[in-house]
Amino acid sequence: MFDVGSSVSVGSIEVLTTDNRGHSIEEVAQMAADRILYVADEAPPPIRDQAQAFKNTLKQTLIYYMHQAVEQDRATICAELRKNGYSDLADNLRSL
Amino acid sequence: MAISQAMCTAFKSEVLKATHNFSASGGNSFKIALYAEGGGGKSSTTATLGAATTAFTTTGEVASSGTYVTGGLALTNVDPTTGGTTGFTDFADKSFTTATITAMGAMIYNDTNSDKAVCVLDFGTNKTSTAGTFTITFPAAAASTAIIRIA
Repeated sequence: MFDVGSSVSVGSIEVLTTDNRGHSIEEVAQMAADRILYVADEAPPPIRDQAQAFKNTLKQTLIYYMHQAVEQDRATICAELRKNGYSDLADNLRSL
Repeated sequence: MAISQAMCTAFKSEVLKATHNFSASGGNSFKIALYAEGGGGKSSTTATLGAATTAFTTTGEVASSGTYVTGGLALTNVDPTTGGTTGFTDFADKSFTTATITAMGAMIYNDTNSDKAVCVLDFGTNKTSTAGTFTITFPAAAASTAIIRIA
């Protein structure tokens, strides 16, 4: 007789919440970095440290380009607002 | 506890009957619904969810707010794959914006196939957003961490 052992498991999620705002670029970058690279606590220390260092660099790169994306998107929206006569609104948006 | 994290028992047998298809392309549509404990749900109902849960229920579900609507929102499937001897699947993170929500847990269910429950997620404590963003981040898609794993 043969027995085939198996198990079905559910992983652990994380919940992030904010009050009266959306997530910051830094928070979103952290989420992205966590999805891109998982570093196991039980990994050999030299590998774990190197992976963690890479992850930190990755996060900083994500933050930089997300800032660029938000800035460029706002510039496009502001240009549209100005074109349609909403200069004050455009100025307020640019000052955020 | 009224909400206990578990892979639903019925789901385990349904997997063997090919009831659920997690493929990114051509797979079933899965939704995630949020639940409250202690009468925090709509109509002051309290959720009782766990391994014995078989299908989506409105009892204890949080009310619609911001981009969250009752019945839950569709998840984005990620193609199932393997790591070592473990098969696993994943979903893209889900955010509900401009939402005032207090939730203690969630249920993932198959919207394509009679709302059959997949798993119950226990947040451990009440998680609250006030006119803000409520984000659920799924664990890394790896053999030892992914949200749904068959080892």
